[in-house]
Amino acid sequence: MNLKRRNSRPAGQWGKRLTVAVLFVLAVVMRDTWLSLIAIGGIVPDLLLYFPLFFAIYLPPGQAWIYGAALGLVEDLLSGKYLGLGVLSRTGAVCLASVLGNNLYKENLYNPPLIVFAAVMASGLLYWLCSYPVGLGLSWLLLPVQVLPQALYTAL
Amino acid sequence: MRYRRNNSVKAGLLITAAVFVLLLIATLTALEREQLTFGEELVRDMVAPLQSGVVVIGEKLAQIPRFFSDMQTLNAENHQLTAQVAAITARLSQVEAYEQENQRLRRLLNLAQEMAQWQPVAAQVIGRDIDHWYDTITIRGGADQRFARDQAVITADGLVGRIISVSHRSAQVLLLTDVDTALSCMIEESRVAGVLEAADDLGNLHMIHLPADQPVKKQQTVITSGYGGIYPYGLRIGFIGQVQEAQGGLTQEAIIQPYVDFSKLETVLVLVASAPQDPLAAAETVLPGSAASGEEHR
Repeated sequence: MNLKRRNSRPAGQWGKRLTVAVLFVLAVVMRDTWLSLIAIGGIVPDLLLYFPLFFAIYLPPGQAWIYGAALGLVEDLLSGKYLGLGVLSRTGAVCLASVLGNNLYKENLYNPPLIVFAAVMASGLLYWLCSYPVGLGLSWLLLPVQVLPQALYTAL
Repeated sequence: MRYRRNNSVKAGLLITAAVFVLLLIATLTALEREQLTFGEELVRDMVAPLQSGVVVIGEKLAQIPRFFSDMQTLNAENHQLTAQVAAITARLSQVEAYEQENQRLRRLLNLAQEMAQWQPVAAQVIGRDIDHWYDTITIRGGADQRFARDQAVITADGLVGRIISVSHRSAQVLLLTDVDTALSCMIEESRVAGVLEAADDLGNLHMIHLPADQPVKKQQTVITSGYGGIYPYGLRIGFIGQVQEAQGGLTQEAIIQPYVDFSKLETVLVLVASAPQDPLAAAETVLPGSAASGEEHR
């Protein structure tokens, strides 16, 4: 009986991961196609982060990071450039959200938007930081002009 | 405690290694590459149809608000075009009326030119006898236009009748279909003479006193003979529709189908016997809407 349960658990987990991956793919596709409809001044909310953040807030960082990494991987594969930057930035953002979610009082109405804001900022910051070692070298102006408004919009 | 510390160190090392590996991969997969990786190609090929489908759906959804605004625009345009169609239709019917009038007047003009020995004066039909006792019409133009009693009245199709009474500005015309009609006529092809008699109750014209031994056939044309002194020679009356033996068997008679449609008389020509003049000028004297008639009317 125990053996049976041990064998069925990984299969269920892989199914769950596959579902999440498909959801991420769909979400990325939606972002690339429809999200421009709700753009304000060229700024679109980072709605993709909602998926991993939902898990991150309720899961410890040790389990939540996989969702961030999966999202980042899907984004990287679809964007076709600098594979790994997305994984790093999204994983870091989800880990931060997980830490905050597990330490802040979740039922407080202001905390979830705060966590989202922090996660989006962290994601942008990490991407910007990692752009230098890989030779991309993004301008720091992107942080106040792009990342900060996006984080505010997403948190709203 | 030591075990947990070792685990943390291991995890830190693992994370650092992962970060380095990822940065290395990112460096190797920079912006411009000659070829995508297998994973990238696979994901892109799988997602491309999905993306195009989503784009199409997005475009369709985006068209929904435009559909309603277009509906309003189309509705307004529809009202505008309907009004334009109504105006154009009215204008078209007016143009058609002008065209018919133009054709009628051209035919009258041609006829007037053919009859150079007469002065045909065009006149508009302004009234029709409605008491059924007489088949008469009233035309615009009378003594002032030198219209007189017993002058022949024709159209481009043929003989209409004769003037039976004249006032200064109008004249009454007795139609061929009236029972009092009687005139000398002949068959154009065979030159057989006869008398066109008053119509019967059915409104037919009868050509009587045709010799029994003379060939009288259907579709032959009947014209005025000019013998009576009222109607000039050669005015077309109608064609023979039916030939029958007269009472007594000595003569035969024919039922004539007139060329003129007496129910649709609008403009006629009065044959005034005088020196010839420009038929166009004559036509302008009594036709409505012309400068001359306008002057006269005032």
